Amino acid sequence: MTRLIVRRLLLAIPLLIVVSMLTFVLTAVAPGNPAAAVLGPEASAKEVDALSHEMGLDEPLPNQYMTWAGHAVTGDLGESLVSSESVGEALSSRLPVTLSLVIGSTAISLLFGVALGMFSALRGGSVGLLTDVLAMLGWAIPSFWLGLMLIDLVAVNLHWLPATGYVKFGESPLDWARSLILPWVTLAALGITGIAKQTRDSMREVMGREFIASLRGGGVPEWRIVLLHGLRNAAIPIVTVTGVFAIAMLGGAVLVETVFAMPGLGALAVTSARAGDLTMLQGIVVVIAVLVVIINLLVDISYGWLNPKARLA
Amino acid sequence: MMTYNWWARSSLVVCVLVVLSVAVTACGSGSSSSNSSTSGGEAEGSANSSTVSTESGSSGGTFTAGLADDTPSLDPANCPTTIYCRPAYNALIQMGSKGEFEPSLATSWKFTDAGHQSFEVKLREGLKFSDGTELTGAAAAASMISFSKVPSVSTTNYFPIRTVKAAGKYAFIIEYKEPVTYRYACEQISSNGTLGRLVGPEGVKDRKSLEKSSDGIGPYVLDSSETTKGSTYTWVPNPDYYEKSGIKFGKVVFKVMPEPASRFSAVQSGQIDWAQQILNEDRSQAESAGLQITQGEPGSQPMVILANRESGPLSKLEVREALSYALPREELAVALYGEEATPSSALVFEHTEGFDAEAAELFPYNVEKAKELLAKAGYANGFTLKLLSAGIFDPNNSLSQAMQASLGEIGVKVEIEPVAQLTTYTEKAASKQYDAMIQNSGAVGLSSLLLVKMGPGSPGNPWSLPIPAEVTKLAKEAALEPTPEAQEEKMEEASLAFSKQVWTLTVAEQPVIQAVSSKVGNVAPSYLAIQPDPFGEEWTLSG
Repeated sequence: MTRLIVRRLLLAIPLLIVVSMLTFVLTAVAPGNPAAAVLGPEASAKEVDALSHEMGLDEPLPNQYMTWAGHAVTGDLGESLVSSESVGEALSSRLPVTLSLVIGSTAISLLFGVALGMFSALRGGSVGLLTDVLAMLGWAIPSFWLGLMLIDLVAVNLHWLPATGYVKFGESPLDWARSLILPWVTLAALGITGIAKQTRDSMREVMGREFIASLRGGGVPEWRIVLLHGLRNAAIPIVTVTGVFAIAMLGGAVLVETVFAMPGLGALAVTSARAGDLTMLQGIVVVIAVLVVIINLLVDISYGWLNPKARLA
Repeated sequence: MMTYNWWARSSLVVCVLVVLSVAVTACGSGSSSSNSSTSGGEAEGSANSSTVSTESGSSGGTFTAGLADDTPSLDPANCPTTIYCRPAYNALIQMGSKGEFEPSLATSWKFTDAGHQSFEVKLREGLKFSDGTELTGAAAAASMISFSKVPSVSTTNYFPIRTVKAAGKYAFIIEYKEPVTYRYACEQISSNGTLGRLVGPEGVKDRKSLEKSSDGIGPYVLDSSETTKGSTYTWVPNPDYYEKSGIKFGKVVFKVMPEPASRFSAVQSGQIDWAQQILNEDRSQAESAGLQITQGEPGSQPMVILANRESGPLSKLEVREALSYALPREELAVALYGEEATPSSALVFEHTEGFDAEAAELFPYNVEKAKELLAKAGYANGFTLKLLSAGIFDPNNSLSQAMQASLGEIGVKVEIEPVAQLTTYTEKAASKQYDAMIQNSGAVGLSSLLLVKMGPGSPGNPWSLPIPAEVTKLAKEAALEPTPEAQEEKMEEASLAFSKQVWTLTVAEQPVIQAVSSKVGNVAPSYLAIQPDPFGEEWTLSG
């Protein structure tokens, strides 16, 4: 298992280099000059050029990248082009928000998705059909719309939960959870339905295998058959899908954080993109890439835990 | 199948239990939760934390606002959304909700020369910046000069100024490059802008320090321990503030909420006290929900700058007039901005410097006349007009598309180039590749338009064409008039003359609407600025 983890981590290094280079190139060649964003629409071309020089934006691209990368390996991701704020500080203050959102949504998706999928697989018939319909709805309903509807119903009309914002866990664990319930539900809607459908299909396939019939014939209690043998054998595709949804939720956080006015990485990405803040965007992409690597690593570790043969692969 | 029943039931039970636990958590704090909790929900939580300092004179409670835009900085020199510097930096002159100029850090102000290029400001004595140093003429001059050196959107405000120098211990003089009107000189340093928000010597020395601690003279000071850039900004009462009765809140919290629907939901649910800039279509819902509506006059709206006047069709006045006659303003105003919008073809809007009512109705809708004028100019078959449209000035390109449809009626084919980012827009606007471009009027008066916004070299005038001589002459004469009233009268003439040149196509002015909780007192139904001033207008909080 250790070898697996080390190998995956080593593979992540070139991935991060490529991602950072691609982001750097794409953001640099995108139209628009960050200096113009700082100075606004009334600044003259001369002033924009002067500030571009001051910001080092007129340097050749490889030089700009090497300067950035040289600092990045020491943990210095530079300063925001627009606000001069430290990118590292901005990211570290916002990362817990996005992690709270994505981890919570993934957990809810897994819990509800597996429960619903198992229920559907074991009952079949109309329940299976219902799962399909729910899955279709989950895919079809845009998360921002669902978020706005939940705010209107639960926060504005029922006054049960706050409409927007985020409370730090350290300030009040209860308020932290309350501030996250609606965003969690909004973001998890897609995951629940997707995981439920995968669970149902996998469970149905596994529960129809011969060894399950043999176990039943041997008098093994049904709960042991379902949990220890059925679910475990069906788990690998479920874990794969969960990993995919967790990564998708990192992307979905952009919309959800905007709708719920949460100070996370997604909302920061939106404001940075609007302002043309390249260094901030670069930092965000690198952090997201690291999170994707971590999620994939966790998925790989789960494979190893669920299937010992995978540890040798 | 019976063998699966136990599991089917168990799965269902798990689902139900999880749903119940979520519901219990949700209801845990009962109905009171509406105001509690979140960092955005300090309305109640803040009431606890906002222990009122009787010494500071604050009347208590946390005032929480949901703002549409973040600020690039908390330095007044780089604070285009002025609301962010209002709590900690009083301006030299306070502009009242009816446009009157009132003393604030300054006690009096006047031109000291007949040429109206030298404007003296006398300061209130005995005031101290947050860094403990005294407000003097030298400190004020240093602050304003330092302002001009900060790369920011606001730097342009300093363009018409030659220099600022101390004039005795408690006075300073602003020297302008050319004569300016009394109203312009006052507005420049009023609470409507940022130039008159002075920074103490320590802040001037290290402007970056202003991100962590404010260094102005205002009712509040920045609380950096409860401030997260880009998300939440917190101010607490300034213990050294000279006018204790001006401190109305125990704490001030600004939440960045770019999504209008989120701001509106938050103010409806009681989570915030002020939702900045709500959508026009939410007005009636806000009123029926018991919220107060306050609106800016003049309004704001995007306008089309007919930029390529050097050569081609737009260089002919008849063509520009034809385009203006082709706009069904009454219809477009309602369709684009709602019932509250006022159709106008004027270059400047009502309540701003130089507004002339005649200019608002210069070009009534008349397609036949428009076609005649085009034919007279040699463009009977129309022409193609390349229009640059940025999403920040023209959301959803709605104005561009309205122009496309209206001008299509007289044979002018509008090719829209939509751009999403300001950075791209600025670059393209300066490229001289576009005949016209959409910008926001910013609700500024004629002096600002002439000196900054439409001045040669600005993106509003990429071909650097001179302002029409007649307009310049009238504006200069206006600035030299002895009284503000006479100046205004002359500026109206200048504005009318400028509007007749049709450098821009305006459709309507639209009020910017604010939704304020019923708990907030002293809220005027309207104010003469783009945004209200909760601190200058002394909003209060009850309940």
